Amino acid sequence: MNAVTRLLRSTGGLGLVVLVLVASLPLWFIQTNFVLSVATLTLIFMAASLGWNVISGFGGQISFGHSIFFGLGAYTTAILQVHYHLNAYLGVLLGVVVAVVLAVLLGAVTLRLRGIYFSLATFALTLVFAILTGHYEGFTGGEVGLTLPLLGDAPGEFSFENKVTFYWIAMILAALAFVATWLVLRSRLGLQLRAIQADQEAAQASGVLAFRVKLTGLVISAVPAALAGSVYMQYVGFIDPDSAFGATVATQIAVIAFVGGAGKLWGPVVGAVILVPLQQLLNSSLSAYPAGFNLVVYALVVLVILWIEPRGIMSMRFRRRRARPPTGAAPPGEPDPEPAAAVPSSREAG
Amino acid sequence: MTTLVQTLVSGILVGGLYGLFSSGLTLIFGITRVINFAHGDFVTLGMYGAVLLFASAGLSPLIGIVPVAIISFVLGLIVYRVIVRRTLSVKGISAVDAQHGQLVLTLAVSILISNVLLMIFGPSPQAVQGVLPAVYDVFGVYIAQARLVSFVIALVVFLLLYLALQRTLYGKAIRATVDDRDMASMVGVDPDKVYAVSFSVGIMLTGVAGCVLATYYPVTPTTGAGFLIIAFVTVVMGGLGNVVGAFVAGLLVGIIQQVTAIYVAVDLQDVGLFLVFVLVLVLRPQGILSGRRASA
Repeated sequence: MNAVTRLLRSTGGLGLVVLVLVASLPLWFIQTNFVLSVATLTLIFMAASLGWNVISGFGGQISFGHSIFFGLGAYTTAILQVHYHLNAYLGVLLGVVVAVVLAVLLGAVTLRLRGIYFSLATFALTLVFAILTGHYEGFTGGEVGLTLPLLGDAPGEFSFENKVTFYWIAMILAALAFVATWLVLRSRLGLQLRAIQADQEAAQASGVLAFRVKLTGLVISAVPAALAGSVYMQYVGFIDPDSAFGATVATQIAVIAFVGGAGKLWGPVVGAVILVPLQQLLNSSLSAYPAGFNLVVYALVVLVILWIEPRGIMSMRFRRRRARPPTGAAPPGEPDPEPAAAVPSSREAG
Repeated sequence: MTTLVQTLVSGILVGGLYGLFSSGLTLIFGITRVINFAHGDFVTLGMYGAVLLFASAGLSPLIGIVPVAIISFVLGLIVYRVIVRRTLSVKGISAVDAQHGQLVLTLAVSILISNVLLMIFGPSPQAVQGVLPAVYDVFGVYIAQARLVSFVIALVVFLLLYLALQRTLYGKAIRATVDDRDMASMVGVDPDKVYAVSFSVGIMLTGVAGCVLATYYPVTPTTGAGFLIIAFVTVVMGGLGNVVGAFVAGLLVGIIQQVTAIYVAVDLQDVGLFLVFVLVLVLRPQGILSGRRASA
């Protein structure tokens, strides 16, 4: 009993248990293709949101523009595959490269801004991308979007007849994103990001190179988002400006993390598991509900959760808390189950 | 030359309405520090209010302003009391966490409003037709009556707001809170009341702008998304919290949009605007119309 509790209380142990559980889902829980697609999309957006958490959750620079990286990942792979018949895996890789380059360029401009100004600038930029991809039709397919050629079962081209494969790929992506954010959180960079979130002036006074740290954070944070976009493209096979760069995707990535708990390691995981299925299951194109109904429910759930706890689910205090273990019982060197909770809560507005 | 004048006039006429709903957003931000992501959707609500009143009771949007203003005020009060104020009352929450909470909450309100409207009215555009149909020809420059009247109403409502802020006790309390909230509450200004009033007045201005806009602008449930970003751009250009700045910037934004639409490409009209916005943010985050130096 004690061993199980200990396993579940350590991030690595809990992560492993969750991973095994998620990996086994298609064997006993996911019976229909519909549920499978919902689960796959959940994992894809979870990965994007985990990436968001690095710069916005840990670093406190709230981005409403992670759809830029998501969209760049999706569009790069799509354009290379459709126009240049490039290998899909190479396209995914180049998607990440493009996203990283753009992260550096956009970060160099926007990361000088503080607080809400950064959020508004990133939000405006993603809408610029949406309009531009719609305008330059020859290259991007314009408002109609791009559709990948149907290749059937071609594992060498990232195309699988068996959709469970995509589920596992999405799972690996989400798991890697989780491990990456976990490593960032435990690293010197993570500490510096959290210091900047707590108080940038104080962090700078203590020798943190704020701009460089934020830029590194943004670049790291763009990678999972770009990969999520590429995998989304390969899985869905279709992208248009709005589903890549639009306001819905832009806010979705952030809202997932906020609902779960921005800055908490498990926040995006919890948020994605709640919000993405909610939005997909009630989708009017797949069910009898009227158009808009799914998002009404979605909005109400977000409202209720944040009304109860504006800092997200991971910050909720549940009434029946486990009794504190007697002194000495706690194993030495036990990692804090919520490392981000150690951040001082007295943050100053930028 | 005529094209240029025509472009400028169109820009200014639509810009007046941008200025009106943006002054609502900047009022809300200046007082409550809430970034209201649902702002554009309150414009949409005002527009649907006008459409509904016209379709059901034959009421002209110009008279419809009164009921729409009252309803928007009440809606604003409800959103403030029930949703926004909640984030401030959570135990042990930091100012930044509360602001992020409000941001996501108003975002959820935005999704809620636009999708409830989608469920009720469907996705097809609706408009108030046949009100103020005349078009004036002033030395070759065409001015639509609906646009002109809307602009005049926006200007009048804005001046009323300005006078109220300058002359009434409530206005003075509001301005005092913008300048120094702690000092204001020390001399007896009840912050909660000031917050509630300014939030509701901000939403009311937005509803009025929407109501008038409906005379020439067709509305769909997602119209608000475009207005939201326009309001953000305007408010930042005018200097966050600066009501007069917001109105003037509104005119400027209208002009930039029209100039890009005419001289570059219609579907790129917002790109020009957003790029100017990012430039303003980077070069002069305190706003181009604000004399104050940026504190952050």
